[in-house]
Amino acid sequence: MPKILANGTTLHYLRSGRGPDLVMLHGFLGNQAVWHLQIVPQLRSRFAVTTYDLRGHGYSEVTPSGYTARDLAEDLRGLLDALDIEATPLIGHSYGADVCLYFSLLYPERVTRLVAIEPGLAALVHQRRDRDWNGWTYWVQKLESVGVSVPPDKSSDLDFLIKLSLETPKFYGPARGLPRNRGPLLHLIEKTTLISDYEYVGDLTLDAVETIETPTLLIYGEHSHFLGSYYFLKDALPNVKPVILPGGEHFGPLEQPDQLVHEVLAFLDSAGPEGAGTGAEEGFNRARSAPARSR
Amino acid sequence: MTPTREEVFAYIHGTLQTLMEDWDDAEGVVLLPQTMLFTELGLESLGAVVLGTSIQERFGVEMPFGQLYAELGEQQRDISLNEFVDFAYSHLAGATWRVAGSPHET
Repeated sequence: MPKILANGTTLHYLRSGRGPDLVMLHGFLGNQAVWHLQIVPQLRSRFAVTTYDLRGHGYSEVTPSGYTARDLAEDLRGLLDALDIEATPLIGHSYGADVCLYFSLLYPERVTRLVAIEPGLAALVHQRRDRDWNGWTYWVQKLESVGVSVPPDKSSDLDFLIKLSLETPKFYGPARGLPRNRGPLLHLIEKTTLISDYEYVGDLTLDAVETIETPTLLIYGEHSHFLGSYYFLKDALPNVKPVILPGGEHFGPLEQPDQLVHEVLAFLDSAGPEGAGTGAEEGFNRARSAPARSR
Repeated sequence: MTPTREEVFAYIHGTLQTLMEDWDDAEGVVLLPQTMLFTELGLESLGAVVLGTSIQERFGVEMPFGQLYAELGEQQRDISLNEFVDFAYSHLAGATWRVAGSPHET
């Protein structure tokens, strides 16, 4: 397995395809397989696609700490340095999108374009602490759909719901329906700072978001429970093309891979062969004009 | 020159053995041609992706592993090492192959 030392941590990565670089980051408690099941096969004829497992995830090294979006952005910098990638388009999903935003804030010259799929944004975590946040309802319903009941007093208990979710069969991929390998994920949750680090805001404040000039394609599912972040980001990012995937939820890379690839290719193609457009193309919010599919 | 089936088997067997070295729960597991990769061996999505990518890079041929894995997941069925080798080998030889039991089976 290809592994590389980045920011002092050993990361497991995969590279496939030919063309200009494209780097993809998965989400919280996931791994890079999320990209490979449906999406990389559609991109590898156009791009040299690099995916990797975030620190602590997949086959990458598990460290006791170092899981803030800033830490993981520094891991990304280390990975790009080690692979000799000077600047590249980035695609991130969920927490991976948060890391991409943080990276774009720290190292704007190294991101030609950004596709941010369902970023939560730590600075908006207060929205998700509310017991009435629709994400809790979604989560409980998802668990109950596979026969797992949630006591009412635990229906907004993050730690409880994460651990209960690990007891459900896999929802996606070739091993769908089989039990999860809970050990590594439990270790990550219980023995590292991942959970608390997720809420680290650092320099990526709500005000700082407005300084990220990177041309950004912002994608959320129509029924995503992170739409609160969408409404903020689509107005705050100065150079953004917001897109809502009709019928979609939070896990677009797994639920709607074809629509996602369609949007990504249209966005990257509009930047020219090197993916380094200015974002002045049709559909961007620079002039605060509403794109056709935004809401 | 197209590799022989034995060469493809040896490569996939060796790659899986290497993958298993990183698994906590693979000690004592014996990998045989009839071993079912997901239910018996404990292969997961990430390992399957690594395996598929490695095979394509090694033999320089693009293969529809994404489609194979999607079919396995949709049908919630498993695949043996032998069947997996047949899948890879058939694409190296230019043949088509589908998951047994698939509506698309040829």
